[in-house]
Amino acid sequence: MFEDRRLLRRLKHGDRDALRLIYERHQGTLLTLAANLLHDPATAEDVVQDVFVGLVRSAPRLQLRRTLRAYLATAVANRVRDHYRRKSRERLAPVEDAGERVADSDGPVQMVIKSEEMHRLRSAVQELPYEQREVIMLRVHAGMKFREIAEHQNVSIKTALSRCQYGLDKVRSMLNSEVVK
Amino acid sequence: MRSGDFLESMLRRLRYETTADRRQATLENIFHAMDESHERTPAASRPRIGRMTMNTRTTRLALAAAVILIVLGGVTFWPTGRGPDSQWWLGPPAAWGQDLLDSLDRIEAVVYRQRSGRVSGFAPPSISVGWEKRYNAKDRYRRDRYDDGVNIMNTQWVIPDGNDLLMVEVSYQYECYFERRNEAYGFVEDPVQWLSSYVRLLDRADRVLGTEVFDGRTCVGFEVSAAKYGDNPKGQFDRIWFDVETKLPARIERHGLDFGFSPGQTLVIIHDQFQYYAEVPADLFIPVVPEGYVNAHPDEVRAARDAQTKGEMVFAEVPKDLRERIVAALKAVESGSYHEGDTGIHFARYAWRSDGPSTGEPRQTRWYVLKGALPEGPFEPTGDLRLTETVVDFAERTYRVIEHTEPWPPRHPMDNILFIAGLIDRADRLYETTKIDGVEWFGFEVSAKKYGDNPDGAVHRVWFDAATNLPVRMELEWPHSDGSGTTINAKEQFEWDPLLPDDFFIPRIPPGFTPAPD
Repeated sequence: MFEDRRLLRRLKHGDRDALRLIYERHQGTLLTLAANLLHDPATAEDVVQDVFVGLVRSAPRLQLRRTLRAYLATAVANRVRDHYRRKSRERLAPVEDAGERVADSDGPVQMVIKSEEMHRLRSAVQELPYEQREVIMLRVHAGMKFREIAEHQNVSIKTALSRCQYGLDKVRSMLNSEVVK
Repeated sequence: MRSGDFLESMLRRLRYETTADRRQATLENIFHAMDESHERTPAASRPRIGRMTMNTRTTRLALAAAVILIVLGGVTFWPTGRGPDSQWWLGPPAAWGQDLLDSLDRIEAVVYRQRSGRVSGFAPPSISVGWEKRYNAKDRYRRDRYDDGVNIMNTQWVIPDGNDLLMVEVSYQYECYFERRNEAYGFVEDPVQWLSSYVRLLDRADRVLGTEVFDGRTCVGFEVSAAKYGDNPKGQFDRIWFDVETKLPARIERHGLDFGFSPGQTLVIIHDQFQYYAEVPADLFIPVVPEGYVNAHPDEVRAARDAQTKGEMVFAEVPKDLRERIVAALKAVESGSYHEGDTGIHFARYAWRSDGPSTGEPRQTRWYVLKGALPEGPFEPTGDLRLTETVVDFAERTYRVIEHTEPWPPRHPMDNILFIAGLIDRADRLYETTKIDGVEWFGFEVSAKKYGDNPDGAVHRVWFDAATNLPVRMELEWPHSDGSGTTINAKEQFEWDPLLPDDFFIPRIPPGFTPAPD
């Protein structure tokens, strides 16, 4: 955390090496977070790039209240929400939902561990309501505190905890059994 | 293991990566944006994030509450001039009981915290994240409810108003308020009478609990059955601790209370962090309604919001005692087995296991064992009652032992069954009793949107054997987020109190199996 703050101070002065180090430290986590929230690796890559572009643009006036990772993860989640909002507007016109097709394609963004178990897990996570999926992913991949997640989702900490519990219960349940109607 | 939860560990492995070329290309794009940004932005602007956050309403209220408490803390009244008698409580109650009552007589107002805990035969005990601060004077009352110690959810005042008692409640969560006069809300319990009633019970205490230190003060505890002071059921009891020096109550716990919403659990109410005042701090009892709040009950606002986001809810006419009969039948069960997909689930109190697949040789068995016992002292779950999960993978010839320490460990199957079956009194509709293959069944369905954040279209269905009131099948239908259909998760082939080997819930790691890689 202190290292991040030191790097951020350097970034505010336009230090390119600091930016490179921040990118290398957090790119993997943010890509994983975006891909799990979107199920569309190609868009996930764009989201991560947008977040870093936003970081360099806001760096001069940025004051962190929490960890840089939590800040960046929240930025990813906000952009993913923007993406879904745009997409829901586009659905008014007959636009194909390309997400699922892209998710299994051989693009440059890939799951690190490929196994039947991990694919089943990914499918189970995909079925969760977005708010539950977001809590779990922010918790698991970004290591955010429930208090931070609750603030991001504009709900009480109790609601964030419940969303996490319900989500995990559902994933467990879906991994145990699946009968598709 | 970085976390005790195997599922969380699996989720952590759900990672994505991209190629080195793509990372470099992305980085170049970001550098480009950085160069552009530096050309356009002449100077750093003033940081505002912190100030904007401080300006939110809840933060302001929380800060105001904190300031009030600090001020009060400075004038906290503790009777002085009494040295700590050594172990006075070991003498006859008649000798020290009057001392305790005399201590209380000096009190005009009491401030204390209230929390709740849960106890279940099927899960580790837990304590609420949210809590209340209660301010209690002889003729007036205030309660601040916090969701997690930071965000205040609502405040209720009960104050004299002419010959009436006026209750005002403000919901910061729903931005509304409402008032009532001389209704059930208007009951104010004199704190001296309330606490004195506990003192008078002490000569009937079942046992002395010994001493504990709360907030740096040594206190002695007593336990008394609730049946000794009222028509309370067996299993309810209270634990009361008194400050050894001041002889004032420092902590009160009420155990074994009915937990209506979740029938598998009992409730513990905990009062602690007592502060005693010789004078009533008047400004605490003046209701304040924030500007712009609507005059409505929070239930009305919530119902209106739910109707918008979750659609209308329907409720069937459910016979009054049906839920009680089902819960009683389930609580009498000692063990059970059922199938969920291709997994067999078996449970007893404090232990359960899953075998997958349920037929033929299992590929994987998981044992879950709850160890330890409830604390004899104050109810502050410390993790002594732990859930240990042992996973044996017969295909890989590996095993894994996981100590669950996370806030939401895997739930005992019976905890879940009781919760769902208990939803019958909120059922959308009841299935009429029908006879199939000579067996009478009845059932219900309930929209899962009636609790939690579940979406419209998620439905629980449960069928019961009419002779035993025990479930024979439970379904959860869940709509896909993309609208492409639904998934049904079913628990079926129930067997209640089946004959299981004595060592069925004792984890067995076959010889030669090795620890599974993280």
